[in-house]
Amino acid sequence: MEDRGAELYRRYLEGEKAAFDELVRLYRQPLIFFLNRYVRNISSAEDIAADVFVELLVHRHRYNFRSSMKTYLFMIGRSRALNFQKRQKRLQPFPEQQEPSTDEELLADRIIRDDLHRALHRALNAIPEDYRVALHLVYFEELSYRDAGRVMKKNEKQMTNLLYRGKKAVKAVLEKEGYSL
Amino acid sequence: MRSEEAFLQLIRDKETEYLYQRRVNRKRITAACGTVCAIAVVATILLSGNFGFTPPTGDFGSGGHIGGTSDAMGEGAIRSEAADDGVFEQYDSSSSVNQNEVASDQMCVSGSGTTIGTEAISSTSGNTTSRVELVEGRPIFEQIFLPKDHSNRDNYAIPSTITIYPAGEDASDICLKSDEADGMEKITAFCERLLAVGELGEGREIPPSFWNADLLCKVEICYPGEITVTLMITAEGIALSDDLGMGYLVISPKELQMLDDFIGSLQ
Repeated sequence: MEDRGAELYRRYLEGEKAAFDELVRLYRQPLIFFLNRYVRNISSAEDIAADVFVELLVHRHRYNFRSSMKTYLFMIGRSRALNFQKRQKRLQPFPEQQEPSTDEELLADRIIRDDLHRALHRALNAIPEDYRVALHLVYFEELSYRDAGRVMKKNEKQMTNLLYRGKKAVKAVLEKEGYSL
Repeated sequence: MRSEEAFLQLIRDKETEYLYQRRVNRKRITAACGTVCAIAVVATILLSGNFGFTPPTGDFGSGGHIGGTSDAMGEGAIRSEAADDGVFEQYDSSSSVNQNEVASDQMCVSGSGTTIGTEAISSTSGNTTSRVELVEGRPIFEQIFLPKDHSNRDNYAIPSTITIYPAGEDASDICLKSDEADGMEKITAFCERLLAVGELGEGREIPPSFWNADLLCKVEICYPGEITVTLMITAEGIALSDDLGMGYLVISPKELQMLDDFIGSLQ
């Protein structure tokens, strides 16, 4: 059964222009938030997110409606984000960690409702990228292991390991902040 | 962070830019492919030595002809099929030349047709004169052998032999030949008599009655280059012919009688 995103995209392909705007509204913030896990810069993440949506417009028949629209968008987004990272590394050393910007905090506030999740969000910035992204996809975007694996191009076993190690790393960070898990 | 509307506008701007860039890139690719193809074609031509056309199989001047409608003659034709002695023949709308062998110092001018005799005498071009005249006691058919240098009569072709036959066309009945002892004198007299009959006229057709009349005499005049001009004399007139055609001379009965008497005296 098609998810909401796929349904909107099908309507857009059938000529309903407004459906695309609705699709953007539905996935814009989660996508930017996800991309920020890689690029750690809201403006860049926003720019990459726009490119991801443009991909939907200019290559209309690449999406096969087999995976969820969210998974598809995140797959494209990850690929774009990694390319962005490569370019950035050539231009200047990519900072390991940046202070959260006001925009980022606002975005996090909109998406993350409770204190524990907020603490988790902060802790994610302190752990390796693969752990961070895996945890983000599963716990913030609520993707299944399988879909998260598609986005990260990992199998379920690898995802299980990544999540296990990621959780262990986050636990260590949170315990340092005084949370008892 | 952008507002929702600004984000949507950003997507549309990026889409427009992408489509424009794709169009430009396609043009560049097309242009590049065209350039590569052109270079490849030129390189192939240069390497193969074939510059795009096949050279003519015949060479101008040895049997081919430009213009004209036939192998022999034709208005406007320029032919280079020269005789063995290398005469170059040229045709135009008002005059043409014999395609047959002619001596290297001669040029044959006739009308617009295909043969000497007919065209010489019945020419419609009106710019040629067919006549017989004596040069140093020898008959010259000016129409057929017009020398290139008109000012020098020595350039006229001189017959190698003249043979006169009586009535009947059997060569065994030769009545006079130029190499006989008294031949030149009699032949000169014959030519004078012939010239007295008049000039060969223009535009005259041989009437059917000519062929029905009895032949009084036949005269063969051989010129160098294996051209033989034959005169056939009947009570209707004198027909002049060569290997290519016929001409015709109308004579009056009185003149014909004089000529007949003379031919009789030769026998």
